[in-house]
Amino acid sequence: MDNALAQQQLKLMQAIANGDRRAFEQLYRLTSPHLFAVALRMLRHRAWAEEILHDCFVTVWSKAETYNAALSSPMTWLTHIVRNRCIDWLRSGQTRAAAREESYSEDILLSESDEPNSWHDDAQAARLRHCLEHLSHEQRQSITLAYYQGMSHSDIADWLQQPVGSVKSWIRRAMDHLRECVGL
Amino acid sequence: MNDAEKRDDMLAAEYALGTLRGGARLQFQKRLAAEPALAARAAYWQNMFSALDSHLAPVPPPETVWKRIVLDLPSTTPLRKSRPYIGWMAAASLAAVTVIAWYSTRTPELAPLMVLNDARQHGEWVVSADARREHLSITPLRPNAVAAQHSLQLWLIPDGQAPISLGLLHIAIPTRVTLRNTALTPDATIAISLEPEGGSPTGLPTGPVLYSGKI
Repeated sequence: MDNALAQQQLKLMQAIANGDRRAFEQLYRLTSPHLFAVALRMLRHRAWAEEILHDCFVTVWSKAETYNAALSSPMTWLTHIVRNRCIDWLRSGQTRAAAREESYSEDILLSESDEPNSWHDDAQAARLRHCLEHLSHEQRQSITLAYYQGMSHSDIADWLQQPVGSVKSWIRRAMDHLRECVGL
Repeated sequence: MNDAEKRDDMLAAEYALGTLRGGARLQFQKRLAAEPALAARAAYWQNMFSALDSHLAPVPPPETVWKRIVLDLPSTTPLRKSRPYIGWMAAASLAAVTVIAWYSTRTPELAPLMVLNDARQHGEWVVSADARREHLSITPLRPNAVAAQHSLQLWLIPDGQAPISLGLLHIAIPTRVTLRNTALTPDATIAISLEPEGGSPTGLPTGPVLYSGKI
Protein backbone atom coordinates (compact mmCIF):
# COMPACT_ATOMS: atom_id res chain seq x y z
CA MET A 1 0.00 0.00 0.00
CA ASP A 2 0.97 3.56 -0.62
CA ASN A 3 2.84 4.48 2.54
CA ALA A 4 1.42 8.00 2.91
CA LEU A 5 -2.08 6.57 2.56
CA ALA A 6 -1.38 3.94 5.20
CA GLN A 7 -0.03 6.58 7.57
CA GLN A 8 -3.07 8.77 6.98
CA GLN A 9 -5.44 5.90 7.78
CA LEU A 10 -3.52 5.05 10.94
CA LYS A 11 -3.77 8.63 12.15
CA LEU A 12 -7.49 8.65 11.42
CA MET A 13 -7.98 5.41 13.38
CA GLN A 14 -6.22 6.90 16.39
CA ALA A 15 -8.30 10.07 16.20
CA ILE A 16 -11.52 8.05 15.92
CA ALA A 17 -10.57 6.04 19.00
CA ASN A 18 -10.40 9.42 20.78
CA GLY A 19 -13.89 10.35 19.60
CA ASP A 20 -13.01 12.59 16.63
CA ARG A 21 -16.08 12.65 14.38
CA ARG A 22 -14.37 14.56 11.56
CA ALA A 23 -11.71 11.87 11.37
CA PHE A 24 -14.51 9.31 11.28
CA GLU A 25 -16.12 11.03 8.32
CA GLN A 26 -12.76 11.24 6.52
CA LEU A 27 -12.18 7.53 7.03
CA TYR A 28 -15.67 6.85 5.70
CA ARG A 29 -15.07 8.99 2.61
CA LEU A 30 -11.74 7.29 1.98
CA THR A 31 -12.72 3.68 2.49
CA SER A 32 -16.46 3.27 1.90
CA PRO A 33 -16.32 2.92 -1.93
CA HIS A 34 -13.96 -0.03 -1.60
CA LEU A 35 -15.87 -1.59 1.31
CA PHE A 36 -19.19 -1.11 -0.48
CA ALA A 37 -17.75 -2.96 -3.49
CA VAL A 38 -16.65 -5.80 -1.18
CA ALA A 39 -20.15 -6.06 0.33
CA LEU A 40 -21.85 -5.85 -3.08
CA ARG A 41 -19.67 -8.64 -4.42
CA MET A 42 -20.62 -10.92 -1.54
CA LEU A 43 -24.32 -10.06 -1.26
CA ARG A 44 -25.19 -9.06 -4.86
CA HIS A 45 -27.99 -6.96 -3.45
CA ARG A 46 -27.62 -3.20 -3.22
CA ALA A 47 -30.00 -2.57 -0.30
CA TRP A 48 -28.34 -5.29 1.78
CA ALA A 49 -24.87 -3.96 1.03
CA GLU A 50 -25.98 -0.48 2.14
CA GLU A 51 -27.35 -1.95 5.36
CA ILE A 52 -24.07 -3.78 6.02
CA LEU A 53 -21.97 -0.69 5.33
CA HIS A 54 -24.12 1.32 7.74
CA ASP A 55 -23.91 -1.30 10.51
CA CYS A 56 -20.17 -1.74 10.06
CA PHE A 57 -19.35 1.96 10.34
CA VAL A 58 -21.51 2.33 13.45
CA THR A 59 -19.46 -0.60 14.83
CA VAL A 60 -16.20 1.02 13.73
CA TRP A 61 -17.08 4.17 15.66
CA SER A 62 -17.66 2.26 18.88
CA LYS A 63 -14.85 -0.29 18.48
CA ALA A 64 -12.09 1.87 17.01
CA GLU A 65 -9.99 1.47 20.15
CA THR A 66 -9.85 -2.31 19.60
CA TYR A 67 -8.00 -1.84 16.29
CA ASN A 68 -4.45 -3.15 16.59
CA ALA A 69 -2.04 -1.51 14.15
CA ALA A 70 0.55 -4.23 14.80
CA LEU A 71 -1.73 -6.89 13.31
CA SER A 72 -3.23 -5.38 10.18
CA SER A 73 -3.69 -2.21 8.17
CA PRO A 74 -6.89 -0.22 8.81
CA MET A 75 -8.18 -1.31 5.39
CA THR A 76 -7.68 -5.00 6.17
CA TRP A 77 -9.35 -4.55 9.54
CA LEU A 78 -12.32 -2.74 7.97
CA THR A 79 -12.61 -5.30 5.19
CA HIS A 80 -12.69 -8.07 7.78
CA ILE A 81 -15.52 -6.34 9.68
CA VAL A 82 -17.53 -5.98 6.47
CA ARG A 83 -16.91 -9.59 5.39
CA ASN A 84 -17.82 -10.87 8.84
CA ARG A 85 -21.13 -9.01 8.79
CA CYS A 86 -21.85 -10.23 5.25
CA ILE A 87 -21.30 -13.82 6.37
CA ASP A 88 -23.73 -13.34 9.28
CA TRP A 89 -26.19 -11.78 6.87
CA LEU A 90 -25.90 -14.62 4.35
CA ARG A 91 -26.49 -17.16 7.10
CA SER A 92 -29.72 -15.58 8.28
CA GLY A 93 -32.85 -17.46 7.24
CA GLN A 94 -34.50 -14.21 6.26
CA THR A 95 -31.88 -13.62 3.60
CA ARG A 96 -32.27 -17.10 2.19
CA ALA A 97 -36.03 -16.69 1.91
CA ALA A 98 -35.61 -13.33 0.23
CA ALA A 99 -33.02 -14.72 -2.13
CA ARG A 100 -35.43 -17.39 -3.29
CA GLU A 101 -38.32 -15.04 -3.80
CA GLU A 102 -36.68 -11.99 -5.28
CA SER A 103 -34.36 -11.94 -8.15
CA TYR A 104 -31.04 -10.35 -7.42
CA SER A 105 -30.64 -6.87 -8.76
CA GLU A 106 -29.19 -7.16 -12.18
CA ASP A 107 -27.89 -3.65 -12.23
CA ILE A 108 -25.02 -4.27 -9.90
CA LEU A 109 -22.01 -3.83 -12.06
CA LEU A 110 -18.89 -4.96 -10.35
CA SER A 111 -15.83 -4.70 -12.36
CA GLU A 112 -12.26 -5.67 -11.99
CA SER A 113 -10.23 -2.63 -12.86
CA ASP A 114 -7.09 -2.99 -14.93
CA GLU A 115 -5.15 -0.85 -12.51
CA PRO A 116 -4.60 -2.17 -9.00
CA ASN A 117 -6.18 0.00 -6.31
CA SER A 118 -3.92 1.74 -3.86
CA TRP A 119 -5.06 -0.23 -0.80
CA HIS A 120 -2.83 -3.18 -1.28
CA ASP A 121 0.77 -4.00 -1.43
CA ASP A 122 1.36 -4.68 -5.13
CA ALA A 123 4.18 -7.12 -4.45
CA GLN A 124 2.06 -9.09 -1.98
CA ALA A 125 -0.90 -9.19 -4.38
CA ALA A 126 1.32 -10.35 -7.24
CA ARG A 127 2.79 -13.08 -5.07
CA LEU A 128 -0.63 -14.35 -4.01
CA ARG A 129 -1.81 -14.43 -7.59
CA HIS A 130 1.31 -16.33 -8.57
CA CYS A 131 0.70 -18.86 -5.77
CA LEU A 132 -2.97 -19.24 -6.69
CA GLU A 133 -1.91 -20.26 -10.18
CA HIS A 134 -0.21 -23.33 -8.73
CA LEU A 135 -3.44 -24.60 -7.20
CA SER A 136 -5.58 -27.20 -8.93
CA HIS A 137 -8.65 -25.88 -10.71
CA GLU A 138 -10.99 -27.19 -7.97
CA GLN A 139 -8.84 -25.75 -5.19
CA ARG A 140 -8.68 -22.33 -6.78
CA GLN A 141 -12.39 -22.33 -7.56
CA SER A 142 -13.26 -23.28 -3.96
CA ILE A 143 -11.07 -20.51 -2.53
CA THR A 144 -12.46 -17.85 -4.82
CA LEU A 145 -16.11 -18.87 -4.31
CA ALA A 146 -15.58 -18.75 -0.54
CA TYR A 147 -13.76 -15.42 -0.55
CA TYR A 148 -15.64 -13.53 -3.26
CA GLN A 149 -19.14 -14.93 -2.80
CA GLY A 150 -19.05 -15.69 0.92
CA MET A 151 -19.98 -19.32 0.24
CA SER A 152 -19.78 -21.97 2.97
CA HIS A 153 -18.37 -25.47 2.37
CA SER A 154 -21.85 -26.79 1.62
CA ASP A 155 -22.71 -23.83 -0.65
CA ILE A 156 -19.58 -24.55 -2.68
CA ALA A 157 -20.40 -28.26 -2.76
CA ASP A 158 -23.90 -27.47 -4.09
CA TRP A 159 -22.51 -25.03 -6.61
CA LEU A 160 -19.89 -27.42 -7.94
CA GLN A 161 -22.10 -30.49 -7.44
CA GLN A 162 -19.37 -32.23 -5.52
CA PRO A 163 -19.33 -33.86 -2.06
CA VAL A 164 -18.76 -31.50 0.89
CA GLY A 165 -15.80 -33.65 1.99
CA SER A 166 -14.03 -33.00 -1.31
CA VAL A 167 -14.56 -29.26 -0.99
CA LYS A 168 -13.16 -29.28 2.55
CA SER A 169 -10.05 -31.12 1.51
CA TRP A 170 -9.50 -28.91 -1.57
CA ILE A 171 -9.61 -25.86 0.66
CA ARG A 172 -7.27 -27.39 3.23
CA ARG A 173 -4.74 -28.39 0.62
CA ALA A 174 -5.01 -24.96 -0.99
CA MET A 175 -4.29 -23.33 2.39
CA ASP A 176 -1.28 -25.59 2.97
CA HIS A 177 0.08 -24.61 -0.42
CA LEU A 178 -0.55 -20.89 0.07
CA ARG A 179 1.09 -20.93 3.50
CA GLU A 180 4.26 -22.43 2.01
CA CYS A 181 4.21 -20.48 -1.24
CA VAL A 182 3.48 -17.02 0.20
CA GLY A 183 5.57 -17.75 3.27
CA LEU A 184 5.18 -16.84 6.91
CA MET B 1 4.64 -25.41 13.91
CA ASN B 2 3.59 -28.31 16.12
CA ASP B 3 0.32 -30.18 15.48
CA ALA B 4 -1.80 -27.93 17.72
CA GLU B 5 -0.36 -24.82 16.05
CA LYS B 6 -1.04 -26.31 12.62
CA ARG B 7 -4.63 -27.04 13.61
CA ASP B 8 -5.06 -23.50 14.91
CA ASP B 9 -3.47 -22.06 11.79
CA MET B 10 -5.94 -23.95 9.61
CA LEU B 11 -8.80 -22.61 11.76
CA ALA B 12 -7.38 -19.09 11.36
CA ALA B 13 -7.16 -19.57 7.58
CA GLU B 14 -10.73 -20.87 7.31
CA TYR B 15 -11.91 -18.05 9.55
CA ALA B 16 -10.26 -15.42 7.32
CA LEU B 17 -11.54 -17.14 4.18
CA GLY B 18 -15.06 -17.21 5.65
CA THR B 19 -15.67 -20.96 5.59
CA LEU B 20 -15.48 -21.41 9.38
CA ARG B 21 -19.14 -21.20 10.32
CA GLY B 22 -21.65 -21.66 13.10
CA GLY B 23 -20.50 -22.67 16.58
CA ALA B 24 -16.91 -23.22 15.46
CA ARG B 25 -16.72 -19.64 14.22
CA LEU B 26 -18.19 -18.19 17.42
CA GLN B 27 -15.80 -20.26 19.51
CA PHE B 28 -12.88 -19.11 17.39
CA GLN B 29 -13.90 -15.46 17.79
CA LYS B 30 -13.95 -15.88 21.55
CA ARG B 31 -10.46 -17.36 21.49
CA LEU B 32 -9.19 -14.48 19.32
CA ALA B 33 -9.90 -12.01 22.11
CA ALA B 34 -7.87 -14.03 24.61
CA GLU B 35 -5.03 -15.45 22.49
CA PRO B 36 -2.72 -12.90 20.81
CA ALA B 37 -0.81 -15.60 18.89
CA LEU B 38 -4.04 -16.84 17.36
CA ALA B 39 -5.11 -13.27 16.54
CA ALA B 40 -1.78 -12.80 14.77
CA ARG B 41 -2.38 -15.90 12.63
CA ALA B 42 -5.90 -14.75 11.75
CA ALA B 43 -4.48 -11.33 10.80
CA TYR B 44 -1.81 -13.04 8.67
CA TRP B 45 -4.49 -14.82 6.63
CA GLN B 46 -6.71 -11.73 6.46
CA ASN B 47 -3.80 -9.74 5.08
CA MET B 48 -3.05 -12.48 2.58
CA PHE B 49 -6.62 -12.79 1.32
CA SER B 50 -7.09 -9.03 1.19
CA ALA B 51 -4.70 -9.12 -1.75
CA LEU B 52 -7.54 -10.83 -3.63
CA ASP B 53 -9.32 -7.46 -3.48
CA SER B 54 -6.44 -5.63 -5.13
CA HIS B 55 -8.23 -5.17 -8.44
CA LEU B 56 -11.74 -4.59 -7.15
CA ALA B 57 -13.14 -1.39 -8.64
CA PRO B 58 -14.61 0.90 -5.95
CA VAL B 59 -18.34 1.66 -5.93
CA PRO B 60 -19.39 4.87 -4.14
CA PRO B 61 -22.32 4.15 -1.80
CA PRO B 62 -25.32 6.51 -1.87
CA GLU B 63 -25.08 9.53 0.44
CA THR B 64 -28.05 8.29 2.50
CA VAL B 65 -25.81 5.62 4.03
CA TRP B 66 -23.55 8.23 5.60
CA LYS B 67 -26.53 10.28 6.81
CA ARG B 68 -27.98 7.25 8.55
CA ILE B 69 -24.62 6.41 10.14
CA VAL B 70 -24.43 9.91 11.62
CA LEU B 71 -27.96 9.57 12.99
CA ASP B 72 -27.14 6.28 14.65
CA LEU B 73 -23.93 7.31 16.37
CA PRO B 74 -24.39 7.42 20.12
CA SER B 75 -24.93 10.95 21.38
CA THR B 76 -21.87 12.61 22.85
CA THR B 77 -23.93 14.77 25.21
CA PRO B 78 -24.78 12.99 28.46
CA LEU B 79 -28.47 12.40 29.06
CA ARG B 80 -30.06 14.41 31.77
CA LYS B 81 -31.94 12.42 34.36
CA SER B 82 -35.09 14.47 34.29
CA ARG B 83 -36.34 17.33 32.26
CA PRO B 84 -39.53 19.35 32.68
CA TYR B 85 -41.89 18.39 29.92
CA ILE B 86 -42.59 22.03 28.98
CA GLY B 87 -39.04 22.38 27.67
CA TRP B 88 -39.34 18.96 26.15
CA MET B 89 -42.44 19.99 24.24
CA ALA B 90 -40.73 23.10 22.97
CA ALA B 91 -38.07 20.86 21.47
CA ALA B 92 -40.76 18.67 19.99
CA SER B 93 -42.51 21.58 18.34
CA LEU B 94 -39.27 22.62 16.66
CA ALA B 95 -38.92 19.32 14.89
CA ALA B 96 -40.17 19.22 11.36
CA VAL B 97 -43.28 17.39 10.26
CA THR B 98 -43.99 15.85 6.94
CA VAL B 99 -47.45 14.58 6.21
CA ILE B 100 -47.32 12.08 3.44
CA ALA B 101 -50.11 11.37 1.03
CA TRP B 102 -52.61 8.64 1.67
CA TYR B 103 -52.33 5.90 -0.86
CA SER B 104 -55.36 6.19 -3.09
CA THR B 105 -54.62 3.23 -5.29
CA ARG B 106 -54.73 0.72 -2.46
CA THR B 107 -57.09 0.51 0.46
CA PRO B 108 -55.02 -0.97 3.26
CA GLU B 109 -56.48 -1.35 6.68
CA LEU B 110 -53.96 1.17 7.98
CA ALA B 111 -52.87 4.10 5.87
CA PRO B 112 -49.79 6.25 6.45
CA LEU B 113 -50.73 9.33 8.43
CA MET B 114 -47.47 11.09 9.14
CA VAL B 115 -43.72 10.73 9.29
CA LEU B 116 -41.90 11.36 12.54
CA ASN B 117 -38.71 13.23 11.86
CA ASP B 118 -35.76 14.09 13.94
CA ALA B 119 -34.35 17.61 13.99
CA ARG B 120 -32.25 16.85 10.91
CA GLN B 121 -35.37 16.11 8.89
CA HIS B 122 -34.58 12.54 7.96
CA GLY B 123 -37.89 10.70 7.95
CA GLU B 124 -37.40 7.78 10.26
CA TRP B 125 -40.75 6.48 11.51
CA VAL B 126 -44.06 6.22 9.67
CA VAL B 127 -47.24 6.45 11.72
CA SER B 128 -50.19 4.72 10.07
CA ALA B 129 -53.76 4.78 11.33
CA ASP B 130 -57.08 3.21 10.46
CA ALA B 131 -59.95 5.36 9.22
CA ARG B 132 -61.28 5.92 12.75
CA ARG B 133 -57.78 6.62 14.08
CA GLU B 134 -58.13 4.11 16.89
CA HIS B 135 -55.46 1.69 15.71
CA LEU B 136 -51.98 2.91 14.97
CA SER B 137 -48.94 1.25 13.53
CA ILE B 138 -45.53 2.82 14.03
CA THR B 139 -42.99 1.52 11.56
CA PRO B 140 -39.27 2.27 11.56
CA LEU B 141 -38.17 3.12 8.03
CA ARG B 142 -34.77 1.74 8.89
CA PRO B 143 -33.91 -0.18 12.03
CA ASN B 144 -31.93 1.98 14.41
CA ALA B 145 -29.42 0.83 16.97
CA VAL B 146 -30.53 1.59 20.52
CA ALA B 147 -28.19 0.70 23.38
CA ALA B 148 -29.33 -2.28 25.46
CA GLN B 149 -29.98 -0.17 28.54
CA HIS B 150 -32.41 2.08 26.67
CA SER B 151 -35.92 1.83 25.26
CA LEU B 152 -37.85 3.99 22.82
CA GLN B 153 -41.18 5.22 24.20
CA LEU B 154 -44.08 6.57 22.18
CA TRP B 155 -46.10 9.56 23.41
CA LEU B 156 -49.29 11.30 22.41
CA ILE B 157 -49.37 14.97 23.42
CA PRO B 158 -52.84 16.54 22.99
CA ASP B 159 -52.50 20.24 22.26
CA GLY B 160 -51.68 22.07 25.50
CA GLN B 161 -51.82 18.94 27.66
CA ALA B 162 -49.35 16.60 29.34
CA PRO B 163 -47.86 13.71 27.33
CA ILE B 164 -49.69 10.36 27.47
CA SER B 165 -47.58 7.23 27.14
CA LEU B 166 -48.57 4.92 24.28
CA GLY B 167 -46.03 2.30 25.28
CA LEU B 168 -42.63 1.11 24.17
CA LEU B 169 -41.60 0.67 20.54
CA HIS B 170 -40.00 -2.26 18.80
CA ILE B 171 -36.76 -1.04 17.26
CA ALA B 172 -36.81 -3.05 14.06
CA ILE B 173 -40.43 -4.03 13.37
CA PRO B 174 -43.76 -2.17 13.34
CA THR B 175 -45.47 -1.63 16.70
CA ARG B 176 -49.26 -1.74 16.85
CA VAL B 177 -51.01 0.58 19.28
CA THR B 178 -54.71 0.76 20.11
CA LEU B 179 -55.90 4.07 21.54
CA ARG B 180 -58.19 3.70 24.55
CA ASN B 181 -59.62 6.63 26.52
CA THR B 182 -57.69 8.96 24.29
CA ALA B 183 -57.95 10.18 20.72
CA LEU B 184 -55.81 11.60 17.97
CA THR B 185 -57.18 15.11 18.21
CA PRO B 186 -56.16 17.74 15.65
CA ASP B 187 -52.97 19.56 16.63
CA ALA B 188 -51.84 16.69 18.85
CA THR B 189 -48.14 15.79 18.70
CA ILE B 190 -46.78 12.28 18.45
CA ALA B 191 -43.25 11.87 19.73
CA ILE B 192 -40.66 9.23 20.52
CA SER B 193 -38.29 9.70 23.43
CA LEU B 194 -35.22 7.80 24.56
CA GLU B 195 -35.88 6.29 27.99
CA PRO B 196 -34.22 3.90 30.42
CA GLU B 197 -34.79 0.24 29.60
CA GLY B 198 -38.43 -0.63 30.26
CA GLY B 199 -39.68 2.92 29.82
CA SER B 200 -39.92 6.18 31.73
CA PRO B 201 -40.01 5.59 35.50
CA THR B 202 -42.06 8.75 36.08
CA GLY B 203 -44.89 8.36 33.57
CA LEU B 204 -43.62 11.44 31.74
CA PRO B 205 -40.79 11.65 29.21
CA THR B 206 -37.42 11.82 30.96
CA GLY B 207 -34.99 11.45 28.05
CA PRO B 208 -34.43 13.48 24.88
CA VAL B 209 -37.12 13.51 22.20
CA LEU B 210 -35.64 11.78 19.18
CA TYR B 211 -38.54 12.04 16.72
CA SER B 212 -41.77 13.97 16.67
CA GLY B 213 -44.54 15.19 14.42
CA LYS B 214 -47.80 17.06 14.65
CA ILE B 215 -51.04 15.66 13.30
